[in-house]
Amino acid sequence: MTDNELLTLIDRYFDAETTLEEERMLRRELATTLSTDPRVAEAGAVLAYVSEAGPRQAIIHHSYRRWRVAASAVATVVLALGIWFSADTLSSGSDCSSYIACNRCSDPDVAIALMNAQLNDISEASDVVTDAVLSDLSAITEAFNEFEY
Amino acid sequence: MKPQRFFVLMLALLLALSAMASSPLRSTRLFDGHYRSNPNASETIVTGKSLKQYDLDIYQGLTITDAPAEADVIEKCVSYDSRTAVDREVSYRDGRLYYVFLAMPPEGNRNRYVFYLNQHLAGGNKIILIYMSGKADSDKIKSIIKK
Repeated sequence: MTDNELLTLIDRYFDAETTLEEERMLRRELATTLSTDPRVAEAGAVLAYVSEAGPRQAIIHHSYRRWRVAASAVATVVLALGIWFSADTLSSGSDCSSYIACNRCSDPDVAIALMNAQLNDISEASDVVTDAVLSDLSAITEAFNEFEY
Repeated sequence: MKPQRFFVLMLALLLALSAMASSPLRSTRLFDGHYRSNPNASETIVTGKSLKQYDLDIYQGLTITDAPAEADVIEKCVSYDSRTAVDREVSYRDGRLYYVFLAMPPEGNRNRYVFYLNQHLAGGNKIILIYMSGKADSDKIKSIIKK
């Protein structure tokens, strides 16, 4: 049996897909193989343990690999939910903070006052721009009307 | 597939999806703490129920006083973002950006807006950069400004 065939058989063993004959073949191969692949050594240790523990332990071990996969999937889902909820928490909570001249201020009233001051400045500039646009349009309209026939 | 590889693959996929979900603006990078050690700057962050009346999730504002040179970096960031804006109002003075309003492509159901003002070009002494995000539409945002 080649190394790849052996590894495939080991994977099938851990997926509980091997027949009794295949398990016997696997034990014979593990006893005689020269492979240094860690998966081969792991399988050898497991089968040795299983053979000592008896048939009942073998059944328990066969489902071990599936539990590892399931545990990985659950961990991934938990991590995903954790990231989702943490992102959602940022918007559901209330937080006001400000930094003024290198000093952090956690007083929400200060933050709100700064916000209002900034919006007020923006508002004034917006009015200036709007007035400029209206003025330009008015000038164009006036010039256009001079050319009316 | 081994469980370890499966877990790592799922984690990598999750991180990739998270990165794809958010497309940070150049302007918002300026709120990463860069100006918190600047004595001429004041930075404000407001989230949560204080903004509920405005249909906003987050408000970030930066004011830099008596430092006209700081406009160089901020103007470049705002100019970059304006390329992908879905709505914009821009006013120039002396060849520089004086006033900018940008409505950026929304992220999911969250609209994003950027305001920029360089008062130094109009006899003032402030540079203001504002980022807002939330469900509010452009008309709502403009009503907030005009109040």
